[in-house]
Amino acid sequence: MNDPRLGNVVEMRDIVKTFPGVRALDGVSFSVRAGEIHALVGKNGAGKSTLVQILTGLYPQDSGEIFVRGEPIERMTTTRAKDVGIALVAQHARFVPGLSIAENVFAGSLPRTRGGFVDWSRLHRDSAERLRRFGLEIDVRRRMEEVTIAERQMIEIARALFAEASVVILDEPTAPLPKHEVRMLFEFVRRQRERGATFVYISHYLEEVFELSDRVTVLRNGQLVGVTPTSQLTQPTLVRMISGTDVERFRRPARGGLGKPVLEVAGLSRPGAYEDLSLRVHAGEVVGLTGLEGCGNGALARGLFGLEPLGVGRVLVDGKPYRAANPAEALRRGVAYLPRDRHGLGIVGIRSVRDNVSLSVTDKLANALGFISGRRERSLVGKYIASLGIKTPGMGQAVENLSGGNQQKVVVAKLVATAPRILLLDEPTQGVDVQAKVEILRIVDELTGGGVGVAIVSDELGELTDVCDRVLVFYRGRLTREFRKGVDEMTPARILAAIEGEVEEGVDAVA
Amino acid sequence: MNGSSAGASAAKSPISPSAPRMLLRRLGAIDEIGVIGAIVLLSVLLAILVGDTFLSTNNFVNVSRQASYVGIMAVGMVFVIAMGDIDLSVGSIWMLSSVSMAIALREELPIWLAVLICMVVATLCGLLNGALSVWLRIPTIIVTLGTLSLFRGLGLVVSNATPVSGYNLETWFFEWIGGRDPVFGIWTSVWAMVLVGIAGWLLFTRSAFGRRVQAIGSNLQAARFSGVRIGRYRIMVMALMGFIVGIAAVVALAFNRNGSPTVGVGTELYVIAATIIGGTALTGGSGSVLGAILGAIIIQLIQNGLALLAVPPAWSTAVTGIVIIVAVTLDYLIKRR
Repeated sequence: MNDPRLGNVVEMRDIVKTFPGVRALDGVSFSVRAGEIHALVGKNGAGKSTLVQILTGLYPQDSGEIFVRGEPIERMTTTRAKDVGIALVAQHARFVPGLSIAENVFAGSLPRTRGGFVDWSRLHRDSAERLRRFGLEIDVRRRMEEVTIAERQMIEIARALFAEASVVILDEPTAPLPKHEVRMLFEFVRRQRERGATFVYISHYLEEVFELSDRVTVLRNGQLVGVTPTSQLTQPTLVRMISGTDVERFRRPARGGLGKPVLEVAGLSRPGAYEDLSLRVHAGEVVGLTGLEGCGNGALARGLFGLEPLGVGRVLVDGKPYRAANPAEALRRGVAYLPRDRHGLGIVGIRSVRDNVSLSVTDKLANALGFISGRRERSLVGKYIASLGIKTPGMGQAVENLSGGNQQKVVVAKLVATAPRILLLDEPTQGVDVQAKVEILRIVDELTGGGVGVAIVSDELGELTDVCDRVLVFYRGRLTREFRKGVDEMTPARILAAIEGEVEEGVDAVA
Repeated sequence: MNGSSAGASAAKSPISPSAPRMLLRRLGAIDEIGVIGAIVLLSVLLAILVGDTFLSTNNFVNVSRQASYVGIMAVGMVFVIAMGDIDLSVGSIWMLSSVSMAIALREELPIWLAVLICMVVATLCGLLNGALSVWLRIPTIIVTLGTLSLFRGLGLVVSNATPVSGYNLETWFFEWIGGRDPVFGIWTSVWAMVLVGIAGWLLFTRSAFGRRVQAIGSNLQAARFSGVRIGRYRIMVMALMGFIVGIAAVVALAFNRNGSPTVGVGTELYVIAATIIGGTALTGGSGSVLGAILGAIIIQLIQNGLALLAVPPAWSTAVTGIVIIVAVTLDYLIKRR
């Protein structure tokens, strides 16, 4: 073998893969050089996951060849992939949460004493040493569920590298991470690259692609669009490659003449969550609620939706005193909430698009005996499929088979069907592709045209400055800063400074 | 269906697979295909082996009656399992409500009141299952494991562990509800199963209630976030289960004549098996009322067949278990394609 740093450690040629009725990959070639961080990007359904699943042997390709370090692999299987050093680190790392870090690191091959019992002292010593070799100083006695998600991912990467993986595939690693943990993870990945590891990095976050990767492979509709060194790319070019069209950012024009306040919060406090919050959301307004993880913005949204106690203070919805003991009551009062965790809390995956959209309003679709009128339901669901641009083969399609962006639109449709007065969106564009992101923000804009008040809990600052009339910054449970479009200079950089606790003189809490 | 099409040759034309495969796929799309296939298979087998007795009208009338009680209860179990819960106490609810009704008759209460007592007792038992599970936050498998003994124990107490009888059998109740219809000669309990099946099917597939039950079983949290009152629904479904057991208890008592304290022992397992054979996923989220009834028929067919083949009863139980496993596996294999 010649200099491995120049050769392709993985090479996939003309890979074809079809599923019933869908050609997931249509002759895609993909190669990874040793020692690089190679980003694999594309919309949901572009074929990234299928490509990676073939590479890791989860299922076979219909045709095409795979080479690892120049050797052809006749039939890739999961064990074969492991043997040749290809490892996948999934978004939700596969650990036993109740066991210690040490036990997880050595899972399946715990060191034994001569008597056959686990040799705990050696286990702790060895696992700590292993992790230290990868620059991780962690108390290995702690249980896996106690460490942050970023640390879990780093441990999993280290575990893969220790098992002599040479290519580590990171599948959307940052989606569940708060910003500062992303930084930690990236530093770690870069350090491992310096030591010779190779990474395939799948992500929707284009900023991160530019920050981290050496080269980018773009897929669209199961076909290869191009492979380019990241340094030669600009963000608009990359977006064009991904979407096939010029997707602009969606910039919501400032809308004058706000309606009456739909949500008023005055002096609201809940120990441990937030303190003395006062804010308003008006009809037709989009308000961003941002801050560091745990700063109180998410807790406020969940409290308003009846998932957590609201605490002490005054809350009015449409001018009337408001409290919700559960989501059912919140929805009845016109407060709808889009959860951050789409899979766990948003979609009812195995049920159809129709069932999902109508789930929140089945009562309204039913007659006096409780039977659903098929005609009314079809017209309701059809209306939202059309107006939100949900791409689905039919109403009967199981939601789990849709792309992430379309799943999210189904969840939005379900909420909009309740005719809410105020819509609380918790990271509404997380894990959806560029185009779907724009479409979802456009939907939000249309809703405000109909008099709905929208509050977005997010730390996507670019997005917030694009769509919000106002952005409120939370810092340690308090509202510390307000940015108004057209009045204050509302830029991501200035908001970020406020988020991290930089207090400006003369600006006080918000009315 | 997300199966991978096998082999490299299939790659060229993904849309038009071969005709037999097409047929298989079409059949696989029918939820109850596994059970229907098994019923056909069993019937053909028995027709060949013991055709003269198996194919007689009398045998058909008997098998359908014997299947009807489990069939009725399986309709309720579809809701319970599709919601992601389970009810192990149905056999005991049957027994407790049955002896309660018999005692009411013995005490010379009017028949309508005795029927009402039976239904109320059964429904309350189900309600208790649901309420305990929701309020104490204990899974229904644990709660009903407890009430399985509790209800049967109460039934033994009130009946003194002896069959309750000694009431007038010459009434419309025992003659009609416990008899056969004059046109087709089919037992009333079978007609009850058909009615409960139709009502259950409508409720499961066409009502807001059924829709929400399945949503809960598919993703409880997402259902909650969609405004479904989870606790209330779970209690309602467990109560519905009890109510349906009550129906089975009434028609069974009409046929059996006396309130036996041994009725329903182990019935919960047949009810659950029938439901699962019928294509209701144990993981919740979907189900089939028709399938559950067919599942009950299958179980009865097996036992009937083994009896006709003169297999000793002990073996009959073991073979029933094997066939249940085969039926479920068959269904799974067809669905997976």
